Amino acid sequence: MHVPDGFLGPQTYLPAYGVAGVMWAAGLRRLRARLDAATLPRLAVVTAAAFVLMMITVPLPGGTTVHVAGIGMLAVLFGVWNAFLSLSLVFLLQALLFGDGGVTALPVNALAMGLVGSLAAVGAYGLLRRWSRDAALFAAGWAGTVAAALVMAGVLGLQPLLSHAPDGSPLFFPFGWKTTLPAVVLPHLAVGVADGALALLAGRFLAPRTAPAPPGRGPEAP
Amino acid sequence: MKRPFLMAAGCALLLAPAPSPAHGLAHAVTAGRAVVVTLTYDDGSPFSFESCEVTPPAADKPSQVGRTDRLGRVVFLPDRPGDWRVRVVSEDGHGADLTVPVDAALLPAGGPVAGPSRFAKLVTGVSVLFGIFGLVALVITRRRP
Repeated sequence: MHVPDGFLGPQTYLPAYGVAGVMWAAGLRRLRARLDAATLPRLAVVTAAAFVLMMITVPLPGGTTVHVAGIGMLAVLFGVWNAFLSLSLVFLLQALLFGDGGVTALPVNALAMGLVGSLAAVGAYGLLRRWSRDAALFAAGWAGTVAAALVMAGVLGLQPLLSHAPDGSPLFFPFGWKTTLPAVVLPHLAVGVADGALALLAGRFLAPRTAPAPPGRGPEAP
Repeated sequence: MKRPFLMAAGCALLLAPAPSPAHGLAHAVTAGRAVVVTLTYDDGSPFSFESCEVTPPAADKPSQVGRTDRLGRVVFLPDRPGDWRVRVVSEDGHGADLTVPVDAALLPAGGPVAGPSRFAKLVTGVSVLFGIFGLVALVITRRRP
């Protein structure tokens, strides 16, 4: 799901940098105000785990490969803003050090997976936690992955409409929504199951022994 | 009465300019030195049968479009030195937009190029992440005694 350079036009990535810049600034302000030295090592370890898990790819029938992203795991354990910043940091390193995901696509990757994915994860957790905490944790992992895939498919499929040559040929990503929605979202319905299991395990064994935090906050105080 | 009419019709058919769908097509089989760009996922599986295009230096339109082969390769024979653009894309958003420098001998400049191994990426990434979080911890503990 890491979109590389050359797939998104400036009509997409320039506004995305504006939105992501505002969100990064807001997230860093919250981080400075709320993050404590006790939570930081846990956040570092789980962020590193998400980075490692993203590198474990599983081939699917049809030739593509998928990987878990740990969106739900980070969002449930640390809240939307910390998850957004942590995943943004991972995407930045992947783009700058290894060329996995583009620098121009960084804000879209960060907003889709880091922000929308985390919001969906925390939203699903908040909806279901009174019924069953385990089901809520699993749903958080699944929803975070699927929501991020939906946004990514939408942004990719928009490119032929936004940027094309006078003869109609696309200048950036060439496939429209009819192609991107099934191609991106369907595999991630399955990946979401793995991300759901990951969020469930993380929520049961890595969360501090306190009541789950309200949606959007995360258990930042152990 | 019928013979002159038939002859006239036959002559008209022979003389009329008509587009022909079946021109002769010559072919030649030769050996050449190609540039081979091999694309694999991180786990080593090939980026097979995905869309690709090759654009010559300073050209607006690609000189070659098609798909990667079974082994995830894009193969092209450059006819001029310079930076060739190789773009591969899959329907699910994977792909790459590469610049392949070709020298005066029409070979890839600088020889074979390979990215870092997965293990190197893993160790580097985890180390940098812990380093960054360590710096943040230092800043936080300095500000909050």
